[in-house]
Amino acid sequence: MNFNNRNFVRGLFLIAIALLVPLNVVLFLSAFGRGWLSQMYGLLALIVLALLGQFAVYRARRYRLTRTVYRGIRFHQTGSAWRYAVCAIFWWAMIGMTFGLAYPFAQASLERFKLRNTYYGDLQGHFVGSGVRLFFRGILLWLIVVVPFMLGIVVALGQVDWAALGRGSGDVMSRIEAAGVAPALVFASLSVGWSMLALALLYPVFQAMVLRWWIAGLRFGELGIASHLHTRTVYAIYLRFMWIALIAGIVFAVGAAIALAITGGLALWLGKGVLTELLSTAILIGSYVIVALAYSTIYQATVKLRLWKAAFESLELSGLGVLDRVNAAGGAGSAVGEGLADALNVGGI
Amino acid sequence: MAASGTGTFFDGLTSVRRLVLVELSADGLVVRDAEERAMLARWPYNELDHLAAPEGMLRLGRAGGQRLARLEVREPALIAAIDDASVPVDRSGAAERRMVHRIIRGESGAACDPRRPRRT
Repeated sequence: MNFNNRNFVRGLFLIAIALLVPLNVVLFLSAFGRGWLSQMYGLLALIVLALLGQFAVYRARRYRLTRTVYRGIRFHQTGSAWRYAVCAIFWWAMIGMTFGLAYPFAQASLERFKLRNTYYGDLQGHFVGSGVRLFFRGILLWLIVVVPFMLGIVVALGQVDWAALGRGSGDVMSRIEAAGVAPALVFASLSVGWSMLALALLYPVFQAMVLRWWIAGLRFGELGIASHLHTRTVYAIYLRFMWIALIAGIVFAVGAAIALAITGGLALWLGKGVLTELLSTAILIGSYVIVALAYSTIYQATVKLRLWKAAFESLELSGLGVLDRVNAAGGAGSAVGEGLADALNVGGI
Repeated sequence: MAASGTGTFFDGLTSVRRLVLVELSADGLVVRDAEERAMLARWPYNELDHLAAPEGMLRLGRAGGQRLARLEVREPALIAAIDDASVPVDRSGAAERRMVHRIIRGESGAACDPRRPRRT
């Protein structure tokens, strides 16, 4: 990858200062206004930031592609980032409304859009992965993870005697007891607990399945790709991440104890006042930033990087002859998209 | 010191892989077609761009060039000779480490230093 730090830093600052700061100020101020704008503030902010996020994902992909060079030939990307953003928002809404059932179709549709606008030189890409195939591969996982969660919530809601809960007589605790809230809460907690456990245990299976499906769907002319990524490899990657995260957690717990002792000591040493409060707040914010950055770095290095490496090493290419007949096309893309993606903390491939 | 050797050259216009002869002249690398001996590129040593490559391979481009021509060399003796002749080619990674230390020390311009080898 031919990556230029100067462009990246310029893109990041340009976006952060020129676009996101004014936008956030406008959204923030609109919350204090009167009328429909302030009432719709939350929804408006969500839509605008989600659209910008998806726009950034597409533009950042273009930037990275134009800086990916193979055999002296650059990749590039065409297509409207706004159109992609609208399509992506539509599909994410569908995923939400169908409790995840639309995910395979969303992925297939968005990948088809991305790949038909992706070029290696003058060689156009396309995506042949089928949403239906991914749906049937993943439906068992959905049944194990999502159905118990939904059933649990529905049954728990049904167990509550809402009329009894709303009656005015008696104190609050006796009304809650009479309405059967406690057994409903236990049922809901058990079903949520089951779903969370199943999600944690089966997520590597899901990730390996989607990655294999995605790789197998990539095409550049006659060039076909297959992946032999093993699910156990993905489990090993996550297990390693968990060990490192656990060790880091112990280190941070010790650090947090020291930070708490320092903030407690400050109150004794300087007395209670503005300076003590400021220093304590600074220590707490600093600790939070360090922990967040550390875990993000650990995740990137132990999961994302290794997952890509494992997937790449599992590739089997066919129709390689087409790579000898590619002509250069397309120029370097602007870093604005990459900067926006980084400022919004979104990423895409 | 090897004054010449073989390599693989991509001209940046097509993806065709060419076997080439690489010669170290006084002012730069000269790349010639292995069969026809026609000169394909002449890159001054101070304009070489050291690019990321697998272990055991030296991958070079021309810094600031409009085209994305690439030269790949696998002969250890030739790699060492190019490393000796060219300042931008730094297989020891010392320049990279210096840059990382500058970033850690908080020198704001470090990440934008045009003299550093580009991450590729």
